[in-house]
Amino acid sequence: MTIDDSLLQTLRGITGPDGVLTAPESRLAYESDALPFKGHPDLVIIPRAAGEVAPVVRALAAAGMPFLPWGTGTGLAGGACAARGGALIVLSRLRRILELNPADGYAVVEAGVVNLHLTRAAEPSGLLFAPDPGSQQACTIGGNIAANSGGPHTLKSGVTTNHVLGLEVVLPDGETVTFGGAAEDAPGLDLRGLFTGSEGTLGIVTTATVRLTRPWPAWRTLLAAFPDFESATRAVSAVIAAGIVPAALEMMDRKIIKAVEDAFHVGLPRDAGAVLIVEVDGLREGLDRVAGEVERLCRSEGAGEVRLARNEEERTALWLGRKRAAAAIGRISAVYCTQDVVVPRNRMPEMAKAIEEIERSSGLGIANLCHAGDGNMHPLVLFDDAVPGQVAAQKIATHAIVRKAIELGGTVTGEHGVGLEKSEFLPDLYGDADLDLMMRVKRLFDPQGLANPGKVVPVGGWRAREVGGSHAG
Amino acid sequence: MPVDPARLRAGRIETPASAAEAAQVLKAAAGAGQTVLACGGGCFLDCGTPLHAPDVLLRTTALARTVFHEPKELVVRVQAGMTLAALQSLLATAGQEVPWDFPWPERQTVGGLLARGLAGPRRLGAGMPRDHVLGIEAVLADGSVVRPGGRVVKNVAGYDLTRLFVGSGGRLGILTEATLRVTPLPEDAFAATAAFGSPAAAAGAVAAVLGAGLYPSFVELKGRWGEYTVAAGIEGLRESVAAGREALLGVLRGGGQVTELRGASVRVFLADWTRGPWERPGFVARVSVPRSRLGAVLEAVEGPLVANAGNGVIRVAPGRELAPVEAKDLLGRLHVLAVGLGGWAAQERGCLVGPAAEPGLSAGTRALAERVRLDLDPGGCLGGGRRA
Repeated sequence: MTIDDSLLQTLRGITGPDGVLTAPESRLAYESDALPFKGHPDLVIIPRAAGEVAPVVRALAAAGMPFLPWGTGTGLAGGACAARGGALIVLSRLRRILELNPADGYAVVEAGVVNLHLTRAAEPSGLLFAPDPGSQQACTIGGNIAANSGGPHTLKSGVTTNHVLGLEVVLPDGETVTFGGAAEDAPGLDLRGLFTGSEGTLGIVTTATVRLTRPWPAWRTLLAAFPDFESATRAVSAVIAAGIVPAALEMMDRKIIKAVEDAFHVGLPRDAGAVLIVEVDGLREGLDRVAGEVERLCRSEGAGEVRLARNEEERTALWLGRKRAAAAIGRISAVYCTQDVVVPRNRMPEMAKAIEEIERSSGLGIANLCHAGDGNMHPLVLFDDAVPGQVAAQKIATHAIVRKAIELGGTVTGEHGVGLEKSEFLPDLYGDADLDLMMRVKRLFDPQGLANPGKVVPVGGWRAREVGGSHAG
Repeated sequence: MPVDPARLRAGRIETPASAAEAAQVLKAAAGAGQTVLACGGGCFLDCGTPLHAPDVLLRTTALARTVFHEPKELVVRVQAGMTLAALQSLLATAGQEVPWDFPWPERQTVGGLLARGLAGPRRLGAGMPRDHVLGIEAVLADGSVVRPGGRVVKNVAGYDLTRLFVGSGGRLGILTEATLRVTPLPEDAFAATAAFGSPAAAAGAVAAVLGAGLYPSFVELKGRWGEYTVAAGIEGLRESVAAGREALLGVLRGGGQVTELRGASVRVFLADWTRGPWERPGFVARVSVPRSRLGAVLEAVEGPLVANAGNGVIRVAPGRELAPVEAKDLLGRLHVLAVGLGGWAAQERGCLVGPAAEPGLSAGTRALAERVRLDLDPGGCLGGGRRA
């Protein structure tokens, strides 16, 4: 795309000369997020302040140039990938915590504040920002809101939308609006709820008011080793059915265990077919009884070894394997693609079986990491994009996994977002009226179709694709 | 007060038994330029802006079935006309509940509650009803039926349209079903109430309960200037409730007339407590402030009021109808007060319409919401022809 000189001049006038990158080499770092597919932004714009986003968007809208927000590029669904070119608006300089209010349990942050930095800032007051995606050391709050991110602790504490009180948003025409705020029960429609998870397709979050949570004072963390994946999933259902809602209920399969042990030697039971990490929290009184009940339920579903962390150090050790799983897989596979399906918990054994078959037929390795308490499974499809045929095989495997999840009454993405890959599956999930309503919402917010085109809602709509479909737009 | 549907003087009453039948009713009415008002138990029907006699009153009484209840998945899907009491007794058979407490549970319907977007006292510990909705079915003015969301507890596939409908006052579409995330019944519950004679003492008691490390399921306040009752509850494991009981009583000891409630009686107490602002007809305003500013609101407001004190949400209910001038004046004063404290005020029931009823909504946000509403209901058929 050729870029008009006067547009560049306008943009540089807003952000300063170093805030607009046009040289191909300086745009390289922004080709892809954590989904291994590349896009090519024509322009990278790095505002210095939240107030610069609106004039930038206004200038782009006037020039008819598509744009999308970028936090730190940790998204797993390609939501921040400029697959159709256009301008990437990088929000990582907007990293001020504008207000930290422990008494009222909220913080006002700019979109580029890193998730873990907020929790670190809140820690001295005994508070934290509850959504804790795997990339929390790097991902931004703005990105969490765009994707409605989850993490291991969403089972009890909910996903990002449950922790967003208010948003300041730049709409695709450059107008700034606010939804909600530090006080609860804002008047009017819940546009804050609609906007959260919209992946930059309805506008760009510049600042957010988020809830800070006081974690429970006591916890018990158990690691249980199972002979196979199925018995571990049965234990998950048994725990939930017993009326216990753990703070986290995580599962790793044999491949993940092996990769983690080979890489980091954290002491996971190598001979196990699957491992569950169960964390229960609450007030101190009664928690040992609950932990005992969890252990009993795990054993009755076939768990051999069950370890109970007795202190913070042992708890960290039990979690270490889980936290390093993605890095460990990175050592054994050149590239991998993380799927994000959710199925009803009691269908996880079927899903696991189907994944095994898909693995066999694809010839690729598939390892499973699961937020098992939510039924949220992350099959990691391992491939090498330098080997002919493996990219295609990965796509086929991915499609098969996603279709199976839909067939089992689940969904195609639990916490990563629709991004580049999943919008084609939405017609399998929703009826025409639902898809039509999503299209209408998109058009109401973004009549020009400039905000992150092609994400969530396909350009031209789903029907356009069905009839031979244009990717042009 | 629940509204008696017979007194609404509707042109006609329809009681569809399925979403498809409801869709036919809506499509026909919208096509004829008629207004339609959906009505469950009528408990909060008079909330919002003034109610007009609709051309069509759509009763959800024939939509009261359980679609499915999967106790092991902690999920239930019911039709919108099911009453809260029926839902709770269904869930109780599996040792579960939705942590919702509202007045008149035998009349109150799931659809009505969600359409209104209200939350009960236990929002403090368990979140708002909107947080428990996994999916819905709604009929739009053009007769199409949407089913956004799903049945799994985590789902970010596409826009979160459920949030758009919950709390929309039935003006975007009529809810016909909802899938809800349910929770295990707590093993035990304990609540205590105490009386306080000044705003500072009452707000101080609320802050003390919130700061005591008790993780209360609710902290509420009721009364008028100088006469307040604070109610706080804890629930969970029996050991932790037993331990928390002493601590909670210790915190409330500074108040007078301390009363205690245990176990299931806490929920009965809450259903009764929540009648507060709704029991008598008339104007109700909602003032929202960051919770530490509660005392400043109590100082300034004569009352009567009922507050989700732990959430900083205060309902001011004079207990009578106000003339527009009086209502505008009161809401205006409350709004100025709330804005100064970092919040806003809005009318929950009364005669004001348009920006006057929701002074906290900026022009840009209002315009955006209005665009959404006009797109879904261009003829202004839903909500019985109410104005925003």
